Amino acid sequence: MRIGVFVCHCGSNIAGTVDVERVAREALKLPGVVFSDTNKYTCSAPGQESVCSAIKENALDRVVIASCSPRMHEATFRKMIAEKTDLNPYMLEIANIREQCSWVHKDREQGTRKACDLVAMAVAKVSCDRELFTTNLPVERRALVIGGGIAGIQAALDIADAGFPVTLVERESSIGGKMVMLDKTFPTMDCSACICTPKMSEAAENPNIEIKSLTEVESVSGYIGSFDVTLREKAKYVDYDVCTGCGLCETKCPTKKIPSEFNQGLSTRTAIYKPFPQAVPSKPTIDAEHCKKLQSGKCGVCEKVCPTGAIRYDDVDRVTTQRYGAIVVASGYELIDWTGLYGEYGAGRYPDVITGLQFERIVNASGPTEGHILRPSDRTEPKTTVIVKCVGSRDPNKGVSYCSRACCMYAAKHAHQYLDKVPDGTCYVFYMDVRCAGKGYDEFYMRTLQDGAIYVRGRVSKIYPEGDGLVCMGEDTLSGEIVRVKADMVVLETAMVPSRGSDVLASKLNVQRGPEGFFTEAHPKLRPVETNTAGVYLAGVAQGPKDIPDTVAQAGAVASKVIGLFARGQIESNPMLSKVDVSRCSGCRACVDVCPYGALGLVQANLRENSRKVTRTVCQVNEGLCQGCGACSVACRSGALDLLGFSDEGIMQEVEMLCQ
Amino acid sequence: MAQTQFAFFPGCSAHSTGRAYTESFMYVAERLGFEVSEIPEWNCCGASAGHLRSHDLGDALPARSLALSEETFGDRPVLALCAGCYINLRRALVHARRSPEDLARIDGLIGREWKASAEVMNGLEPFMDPEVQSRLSSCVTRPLKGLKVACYYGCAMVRPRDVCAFDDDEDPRSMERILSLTGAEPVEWSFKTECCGASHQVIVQRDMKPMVGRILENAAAAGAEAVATACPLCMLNLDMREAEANRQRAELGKPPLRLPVYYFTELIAASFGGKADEIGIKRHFTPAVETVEAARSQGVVA
Amino acid sequence: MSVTSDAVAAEARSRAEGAASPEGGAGSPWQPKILAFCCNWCTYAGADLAGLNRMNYPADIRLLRVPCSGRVNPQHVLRALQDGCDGVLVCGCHPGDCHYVSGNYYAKRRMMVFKRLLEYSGLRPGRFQVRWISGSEAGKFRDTVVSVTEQISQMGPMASDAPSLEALAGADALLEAARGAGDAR
Repeated sequence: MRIGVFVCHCGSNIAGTVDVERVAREALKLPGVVFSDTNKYTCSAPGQESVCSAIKENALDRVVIASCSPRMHEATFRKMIAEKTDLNPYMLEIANIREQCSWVHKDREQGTRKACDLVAMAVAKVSCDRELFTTNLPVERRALVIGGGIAGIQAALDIADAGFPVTLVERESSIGGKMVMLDKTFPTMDCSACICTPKMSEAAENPNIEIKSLTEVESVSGYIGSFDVTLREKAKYVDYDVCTGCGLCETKCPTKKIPSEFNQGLSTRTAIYKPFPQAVPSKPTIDAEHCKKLQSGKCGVCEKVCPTGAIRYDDVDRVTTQRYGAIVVASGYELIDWTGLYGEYGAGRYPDVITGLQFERIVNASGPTEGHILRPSDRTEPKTTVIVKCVGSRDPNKGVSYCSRACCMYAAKHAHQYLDKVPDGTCYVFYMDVRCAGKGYDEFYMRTLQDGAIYVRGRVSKIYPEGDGLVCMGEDTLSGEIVRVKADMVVLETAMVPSRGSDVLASKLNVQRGPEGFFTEAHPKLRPVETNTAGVYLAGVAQGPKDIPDTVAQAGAVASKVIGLFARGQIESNPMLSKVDVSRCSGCRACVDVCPYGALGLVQANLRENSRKVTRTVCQVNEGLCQGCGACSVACRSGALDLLGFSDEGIMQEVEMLCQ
Repeated sequence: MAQTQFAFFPGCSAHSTGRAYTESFMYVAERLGFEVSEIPEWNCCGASAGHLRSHDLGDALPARSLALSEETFGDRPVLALCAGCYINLRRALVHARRSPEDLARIDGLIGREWKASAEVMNGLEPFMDPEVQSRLSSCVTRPLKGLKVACYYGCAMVRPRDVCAFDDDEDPRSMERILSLTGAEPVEWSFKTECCGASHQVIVQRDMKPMVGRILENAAAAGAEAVATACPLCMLNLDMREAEANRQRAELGKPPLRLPVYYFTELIAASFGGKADEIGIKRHFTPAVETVEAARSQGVVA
Repeated sequence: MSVTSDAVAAEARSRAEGAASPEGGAGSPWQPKILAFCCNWCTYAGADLAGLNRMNYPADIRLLRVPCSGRVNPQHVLRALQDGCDGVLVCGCHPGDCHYVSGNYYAKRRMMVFKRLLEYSGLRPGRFQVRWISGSEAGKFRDTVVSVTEQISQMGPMASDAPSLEALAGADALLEAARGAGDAR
C-alpha cells in the first residue's frame, strides 16, 4: 500500500491555525503512508498538477487530501484523479481540516493536533478503500404522465415539444381534469374552458403524445431511465379507430337519467356518453354499470344507430407494458366529501347547499342552467347567497389541518360572479382569514368588497331550512355578535384532498406521501418537483394544494427536468451503493423491509457451497434504485450487506485510528 | 354477547323529575333481560357547578361514585340516564384514562384505588347493540305505526366529542335507529343537538325562553308529531315550557304547537304494549297519552 | 516542501519506543476524546456552516462522516467507547427531514435501544448521546459540541470511570445485543 497525504495551506485559512508542515510530517508516521506534501492551494491548477505528478512519481495507490470540506471539493479532486492519473478516483479521502478545524479553533497547538487526528482517520479509511466504477445506464427517452388535468397536459406538451414521446394516462374518459369544469379563472376572469380546451386539443393533435383515457397504472418496476410500466385501459365498448364521434348514439340512448359527473350531479347524462362536448378523446364510451345491454342484454340501440358500426359490447380491458425513462405524477385532487363531515350543514340533505364546484357549473354558460344563477331546488334566482370558506380546510377536528390555498380566491370569484349576475342580490362570505397572496389577487379581493360582498369573520355553525330558505347561524368574531342570515342558497368552498387511489399509486411508484396524503417532494425548497425516487416527478396539486398558475409553472419545471434527463440520454450511476455477499446472506429479508427505495429484493440464487451446488434465497441489490444510505447494512444480521465507499471496515478503522 | 348487566347511577333526577324516564327504562329493561343495579352510596355527579368550582372537584365527585361501582360491580358499565350525569361521569373517566399520573391524582383525591376500567354509558348506548336491537324488535307488539318523531339529543349528550364520542356530535343518529324499530318514523330535522336552555332557566330566564320555542318549531316544521329525548333535563324543559312557548306564539298570532315530548324509552315501552300509567306518559305537562294511543291503534298486533 | 519517509523515520521510532513526542501529545493535561458520527446531509453540513461562520468550539471533537445516521452501526459506537473514546455522539437530520426518507428514524430507534442497554449495564449517561442537527443549524451544532464536551470533561477520562468500563467490558454479550439493536426497525 502506498498512500500519499497532501496537506493544503488554503492560503492562511488553514495554515493560520494549523501547522501544516507538522501535519505532513506526522502523517508520514502513519502505516502505509509513503509520501506527504503541503500545498498553498491544492484545488488550484498548479496545486492539482503537483498532486498528480506526486501520484505518478511515487506510484501512489491511495490519496488523502487534507483541505476544506469534502462537500466542497471531493468531486473536484475525484475528477482530477480520474482525468489526470491512472488511479481510481474512489481511492481518495478528504480530511476536513478547514471548516471543522482551522476555522473553528483558535489554539494553534490544539488545531494542529486535531488536524493530525483527522488526517490519521482519513488514512485509516483510505487503506480500506476499494476501486469503484460508475456505469452509464441508458435512459429510455419516453415519458409517462399520470393524470390528464392541466398539470399533466402542460407537462406532456412541454416534453413532447422537445421531441420526446409521451404517454398521457387519464383515469376518466376525457382529459381536462378539474380546470375544464371551472367557469372563469381568477383574478383575470378568463374563461377557463377557453384556455383549457385548446391545450386539450393541442395534446390530442401532438404526434408525440399518446392519450390513454380510462386507463390506470397497474404496476411499475425498474428505475430511473428504465421504468417498466403496465397500464390497464378499461373497456370502452366503442372502437375508437372506427368511431367518428358523431354523437348519434348519445341522442338515442334510452337510459338518460344518470347524474352527470361533469355537471356535478346537477344534470343527467346517457349510458353511452361523452362527459362534455369538448371532451378529448372526442368519442363516447359506454358506462357499463348503467347500460341496459351490458347489464341485462336487452337494448342495443346504440349499435343499431351507429353509422360506422363502432359499438363493441364484447370489449374487454387491455393491459399493456411499456418502458419509460421518466414518470410524471400529476394525479391532482378531489374535493373533500363534506356530507359525511358536516352534519350541522345538513350532511347533503338540503339541495340548495352546494359546493364551489357545483357553483362553477351553475354559473357556466354551457352548464345545466346555461349560466343563469338558479338554485337547484326550485330553479329560482337566489336573492341572498352565503359563501362559507374553509369547509374541511384548517379544521383538523373534521377535515384537514392545512389551508387549501385556492379557496380564498375562488370564494371571492364566486361572490363577484354572483353579484355580477344577480345585481339585486346580497352575498355574505363567512371566512376565517382572507389569504390572497398572488399577483393581482389582493386587488381582486378588494374589488369584490367594492362589488358589495359582505365579508363576515367567523364560521357558520349551523344551516337549517326555514320556509323556502336556509338559515345560516354564525358568529361575527370581529363584533362578537351572533349572526343569522336567511339565505336562498349556500355555497361551501370545500377543501382539496389527494385524489382517490393516491395511496396505491404511491406504493406502486415507491414515492412518499406526507401526513396529509399529498406526494412528498425531494426537498421542499430546492427540489420541489422531484421525488426521492429518481426519475419520478411531481406536478400540480398531487404535490400539495395550489392554484392554476402555480400548477402550470410546476408542470413546466417538471418538463424541464425530464427533458434534461432525456437530453443526457444516459445517467452515471453512483457506485457507492450497498453490496451483498451472498455467501453470508441468509435471506432473512430484514434489509428488504428497511430499504426506503425498494432497492432490495430476494432472489433464488445458484451458489456453490463447500463444493456443492445449492439453490438458496438471497438478497439482491438493484443498483438503479439503491441510493447508498446504508440503512440495510446495519439491519443485516449476518453482516452480508456492506456499503461501498463507507464500508464497515473503513468506519471501524477510522474509529480505531482515533482511539490510538 | 350483548352487554345486559349495568350499574345504575340515578343522579338527582332519576327518582324525582325524571321518574318517567326511570320507570319506562326499567319497564323496557326488564323485558329485554337487562340487570340494572343501583350503585350503593352514590353521590352527586357535580351537576353544572362541580367542575366550574374546581377541576379537582369536577373529577373527584364523579370518580367517587364510579369507584364505588367498581368496588361493587367490577367492570360493569355505569349507566347514567341523565345527560348531565353522563357527561360528568364520562369526563372524569376520560381524565383518569389520560395517563397513570392523572389516575393517581384522582385516586388521591377520593382516597380510593379506582382503576377506571368500567365504561360510562348514556341511556341510548345499551340499545345500540345489534343483539339487543333484534330482541327489542321481537318485543314490539303494538308498533307506533307511522308516528313521526323528532329525535332530540340536546347539547350535552354528544359534546364535547373527545369525551362522549358515542355518536356524531353534529348529526347523531342512534336514537333514530332505535326508535325506527318501534314502527315510529324519525324525521330529518336540524335542531337535534341545539341547547334547550335548561341550565339557564334559573339564571337568565329571559334569554332561554325562545330556545325551547325554536326547537319545537323546527321539529314541527319538519313534520314531527312528537319529540323524543334521552335526558330528564331536556324533557323537563321542553315538556314544561311548551305551554309558555305557545303563549308567546299566540301573541304573534301563530297557532299553538301540539307536540308531546317523550323519553325515547316511553315510546319503546308503548310499542311493547305498556299501559300509560306504568310507562310514565301520564306524568307529562303536555298531554302525551293520546298521541301514543292513536299511533298504537294504527299498528297491527304482531 | 516535501518530506520523505526517511527524514522522519527516527522520529517515528522514538515515538514507538514510548518517548514523549517533542511536538505535544503525551505530558499535556488530559483532554477528552469525543467522536461524532455525522450524517453528510444535515449535521456534517451544519458543522461546515459553523466553520463558515467562524464559530468557536472546543477542539476535542472529531467528526466521522457517514452518508446517513442510519448507516451507523451500534457496533461502531461500542468499539469507539471500548477502545478509548471518552464520549460518542451520533447526529443526523431532524426526524422527518432525512435525505434518505427514513434513515434517521432507524437510527433513532437503534441508538435509543442501544443507549438504554448500555446505560442499564452501567455506562454513565452522557457518554453516548444522540442529537438531531440540520444543515442550517450551525449555532445548534456549536452549542451541542460545547455542552457535550463540558459534560464529558466533567466525567473525566473513561479510563478512570469504573462503572462505564465494566459496562463495556462484557463486550461479546454487548456486541450480540448491538446486533439485536441494529435489527430494531
